[in-house]
Amino acid sequence: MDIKTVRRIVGVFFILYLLGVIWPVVSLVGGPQPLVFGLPLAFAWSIGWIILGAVALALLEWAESRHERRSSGGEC
Amino acid sequence: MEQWVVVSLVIGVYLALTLWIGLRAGRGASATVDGFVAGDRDFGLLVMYFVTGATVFSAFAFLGGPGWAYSRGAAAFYILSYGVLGIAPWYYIGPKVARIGRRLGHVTQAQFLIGRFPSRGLSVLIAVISVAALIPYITLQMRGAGIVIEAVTDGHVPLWAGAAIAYGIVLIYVLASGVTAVGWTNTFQGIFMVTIAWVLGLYLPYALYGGIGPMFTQILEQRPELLELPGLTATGASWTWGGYTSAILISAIGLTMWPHLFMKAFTARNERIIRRTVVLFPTFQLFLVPVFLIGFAGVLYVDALARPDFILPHLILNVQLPVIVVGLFCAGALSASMSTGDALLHATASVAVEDGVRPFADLSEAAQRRLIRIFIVVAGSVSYYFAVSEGVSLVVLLLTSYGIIAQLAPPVIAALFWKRATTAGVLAGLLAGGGTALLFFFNPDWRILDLHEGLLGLMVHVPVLVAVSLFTTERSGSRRDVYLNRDV
Repeated sequence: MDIKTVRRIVGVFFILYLLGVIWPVVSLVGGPQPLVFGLPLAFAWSIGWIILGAVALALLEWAESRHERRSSGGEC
Repeated sequence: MEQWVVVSLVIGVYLALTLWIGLRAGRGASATVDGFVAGDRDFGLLVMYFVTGATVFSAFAFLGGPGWAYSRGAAAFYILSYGVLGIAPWYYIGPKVARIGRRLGHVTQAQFLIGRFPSRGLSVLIAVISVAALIPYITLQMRGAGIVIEAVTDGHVPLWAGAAIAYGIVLIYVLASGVTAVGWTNTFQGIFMVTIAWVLGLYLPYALYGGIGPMFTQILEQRPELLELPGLTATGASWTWGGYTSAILISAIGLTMWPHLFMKAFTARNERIIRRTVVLFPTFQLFLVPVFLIGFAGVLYVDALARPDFILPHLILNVQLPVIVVGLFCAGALSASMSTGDALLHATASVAVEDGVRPFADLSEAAQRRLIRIFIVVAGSVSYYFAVSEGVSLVVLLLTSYGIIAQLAPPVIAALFWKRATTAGVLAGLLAGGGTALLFFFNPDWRILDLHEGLLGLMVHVPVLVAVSLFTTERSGSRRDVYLNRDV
């Protein structure tokens, strides 16, 4: 996948992240139940987004580094 | 041996270790302003990671976080929601700021902005905004340190003495080693407080309720309103969705605009390190999870505390933990306070000198470094005065400062991405946005949909910046080419 596509996907992901944690979307998961891994739904929801955010940033870094190596070296 | 003596010994060992690390750190740094303020632009990944993480997680997170979960329930989840959103844009903006800073020799945020928008007035305005926002923040850290020490030593070491000892040590190492001391002590303190938070956050729910799931099941039976978004206000009424949502937005926008964080872009060895710090930041964000668990653990065990921020020390002292654990907890809380306080003190003095004084006086390198050291002592003394005098409404100041600091975001974005932005536009936007934020802060009833005053400020700020920029032309002396160049 080329670097521009990766950047676009990560950008869209973070817009979804933003929309996911603010009103009105978050009000749909704002109740305490069900407990997820023992945590209230709203708590688990916030943690879930952090973990997804970490994955998205890690993928972006992986793609950017690969892009850098290719454009600077050209041989790999 | 009495409990408070053992606790004091643990704290003493911790403080001695911190001082030793802080003093050792400065040995390699050069005797220049670059060395003192920007660490010779040579911070590696480990140090950058902990500088960012430990600086963000202050005494407020360690004491205020559990306090929020305990008294305001789900409202605390907003703190979980903004961090990653706030740091993500820094993945691209941070390296760009660093490259421009390296090229034009910046060490502060205002220098970065006036490189693009040349104006001594703007420089002073940013210096004033920064110092006004940072001082209450330092004061809260100092008071946090004092509170913890007083609580766990049964009052044998009063607040004023606790704060004085902890921050006396901070002063010594920051004065001696500058930002490299901040870097290395934060690494030590960061590891320490994360460990303590996780251990206590997992242990307390088990000790009191038999597990995390059983804890929330019991809270759900007795206080269901606490676990439902958007949570409660400080008075126990339901919080509004406008308040919850705008708290996330303004905190995310303001996060990297805090001078002590923004300036760290100038300390990184290379841009890859800034990017990787951003990538690793969410791991620090997860540190809030045990912190909230501690707060929730207090819900059914502690009757309404007048000051919810005391929930952590209160629980620690009433759960019959081994005394050594109490001492370690205390050191963890001090870590959180000091690792933020040192960076704040250092940033405040650097900004005051570099942006408030230097545009008007031609100082030698040695004179600048001397003046920064003097300002560190002054900022420390002023904050200490506020920290030990009751009745100063600090929380009020701190809450306002978030709204004001966020006003630095439009100028930074305009500097990097908008060709037509002018100095006049940026100045007008900053004044209009800051003024609006203050207006709504002092008249909370006027706020629309309970939105945060900083967000309302931005709604005025951005149109003013755009409109005035379109009607004015840039003065000479702007290095616009460097800022807008895609390859820089």
